[in-house]
Amino acid sequence: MTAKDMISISVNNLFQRKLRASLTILGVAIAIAAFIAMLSFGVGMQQTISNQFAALGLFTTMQVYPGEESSATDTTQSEQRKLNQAALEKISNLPGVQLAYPMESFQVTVSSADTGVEVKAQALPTAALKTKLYSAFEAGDVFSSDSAREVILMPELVEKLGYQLADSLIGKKVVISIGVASIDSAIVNVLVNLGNPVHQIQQVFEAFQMSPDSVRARLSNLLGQAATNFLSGYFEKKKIISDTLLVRGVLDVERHRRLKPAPVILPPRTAARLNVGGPADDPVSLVTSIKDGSLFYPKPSSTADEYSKVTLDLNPHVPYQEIQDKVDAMGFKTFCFATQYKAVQQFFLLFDIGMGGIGAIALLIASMGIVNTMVMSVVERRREIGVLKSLGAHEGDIRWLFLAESALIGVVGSLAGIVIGWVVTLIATLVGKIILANMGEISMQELDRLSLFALPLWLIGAAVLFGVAVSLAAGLYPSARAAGVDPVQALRDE
Amino acid sequence: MSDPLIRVRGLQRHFRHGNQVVKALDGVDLDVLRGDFFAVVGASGSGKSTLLNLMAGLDTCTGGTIEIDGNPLSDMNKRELSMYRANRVGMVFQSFNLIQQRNALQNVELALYFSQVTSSQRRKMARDVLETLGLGDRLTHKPADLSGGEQQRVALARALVKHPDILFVDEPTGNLDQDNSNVIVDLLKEMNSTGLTVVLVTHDLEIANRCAKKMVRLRYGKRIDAGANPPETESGK
Repeated sequence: MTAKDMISISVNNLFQRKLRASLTILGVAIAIAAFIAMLSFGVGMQQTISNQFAALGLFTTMQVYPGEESSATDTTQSEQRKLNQAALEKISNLPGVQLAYPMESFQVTVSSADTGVEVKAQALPTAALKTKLYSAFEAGDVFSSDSAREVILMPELVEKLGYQLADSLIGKKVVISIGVASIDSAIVNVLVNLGNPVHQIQQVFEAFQMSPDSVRARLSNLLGQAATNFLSGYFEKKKIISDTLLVRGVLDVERHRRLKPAPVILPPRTAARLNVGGPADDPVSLVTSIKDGSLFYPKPSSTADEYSKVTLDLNPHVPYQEIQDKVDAMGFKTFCFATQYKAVQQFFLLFDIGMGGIGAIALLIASMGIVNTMVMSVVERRREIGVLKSLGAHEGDIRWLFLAESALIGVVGSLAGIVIGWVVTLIATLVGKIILANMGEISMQELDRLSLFALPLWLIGAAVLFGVAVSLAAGLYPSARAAGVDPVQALRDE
Repeated sequence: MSDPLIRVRGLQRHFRHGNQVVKALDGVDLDVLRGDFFAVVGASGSGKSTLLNLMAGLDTCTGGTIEIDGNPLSDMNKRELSMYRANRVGMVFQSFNLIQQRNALQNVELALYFSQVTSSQRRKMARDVLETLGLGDRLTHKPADLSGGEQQRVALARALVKHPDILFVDEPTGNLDQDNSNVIVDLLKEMNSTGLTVVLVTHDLEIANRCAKKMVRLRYGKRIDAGANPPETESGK
């Protein structure tokens, strides 16, 4: 008996018992629909996250941080772990690293017309702005060069500066001001507040004529005043450096909602011209620079410019793990979004297994329906089985005939289930989007892009295979029972 | 004398029914020659249908041997027995045993599913044999739409379509009126006249006498005819 004959006979047999076959197929279809709907939810969520990662270029982005401080004796290693210009160049030269740039932010004041806004700024090279991380612009374009007197703004700043449309600010000039703390302003403040130096010295000498406690009190008072004036001069009387820059572009707010770059982005050399005061803008840096003497005797720039974070843009064709291992080996700490995505993938794998398990239970219940239908069929067709055996059918032919019927139920049920599941996901997507829109947690633009469910080809194939496999398994017992029918007994039955 | 097509020696078919052993056949010997019209006659329960099922390879004996062209059926495995039934044996039953959901043509075609025949050949062969048996205008009729005689002719067509070596016929006229019985008997004689070996099982001695060239009689699983020993002297017309 050929496979074609077997399918033809199976179709014919199922067609003879339309109602029973239809109900059994419906059971399989509902189970497969549940399987499809639940798994496509997991796949859809994973795909959405994956798409967002890919769109933002996070799969090809790595953050590098300074390494742990090593022991005092191992000074060479300690040097290597600092994220300075030398380290940046070394990292840039690693195979697979397309771009490496520091991410330092500092406070600036942006003024346009009568409006001045104090915000954070950061320097970004033109090449970095062309990467996926930043390449989405609401208006304008990237810097014309890394030393251009241009600025890129975030949309929220555009509004604060009194502009409604991002386009309207492109080509306009804004003034960027930065207060730079320096040792000069601190010393000047000490000297200005010192008063008459001759009078101060006189007071000290007068104290010597009194008790030692009076001398200590007088000197403490004098040094305390000097220290207060030094710090006040350092932090409050900063040197103001200003530059007038052209607004070159405005980044896309939707795209950068989660990335949160600084509201003001400057070309690196322009930023360097403005931000000349060094790192001692905060108390910690100040104490460090006093401790190592760099406040009064600045070291060469290669070691003085240390970065708290460097961002790498990676070649997508080079495995990120290789690059991460190399950077780790250099003694730096790394953070890779792709690694985070792996954890997300693991979560979704477990999620999918859970969802698939629920679908499998539904299919198991449906398979009981198949067993019932097929066993009834065997009982009803005992005589027919006897006739087929008398005509030369082998036990294997009979077994395959009934297995083919089970498989057919599985195939038709699976295909119908895929269609039902697909319709369910469409309805669920619609309902989900309405709920999310009403909650107001998500913009309409993001809502349009959001796909709660995904029905990839592999899932369709897996559903059909799963449906057929379970149906075949369900048909094993009835088919064995059919194959074992004694033809003599079957033909004798009236 | 040529070697028999079917040689049966000491055939036994015992059934266990609780503590009792029922001897459906108990030491039957017979030879069927190629081209014979061989009748097995006996009352109900004499073991004649059991004998026919054993010779057709549907059942297995508990003792003795059945040889087809010198090959013992007991040496054949299940697949070889299936092939024997598919290619060498045609069977006709008292209750027709047609599949009710299939029409006449499809019922006849069913016999060729287990032979190496293509689907187009199958349809042509089934149509030809039905037309030969006078059922050319009943091809698409389902068994329920056919008379008893027509149903038995469809069953006969199903048995003949694969051109078997032996036709086993079990009470073919049991469910038919006189006219239809005559038609079936005439058809069987006609088939035998073309060289087909026919083994007929019937309780009706008159029918056996009308068409059989050789005849054996069974009672309680044993031969009771005069030629029972030796088997070469079986009597008949």
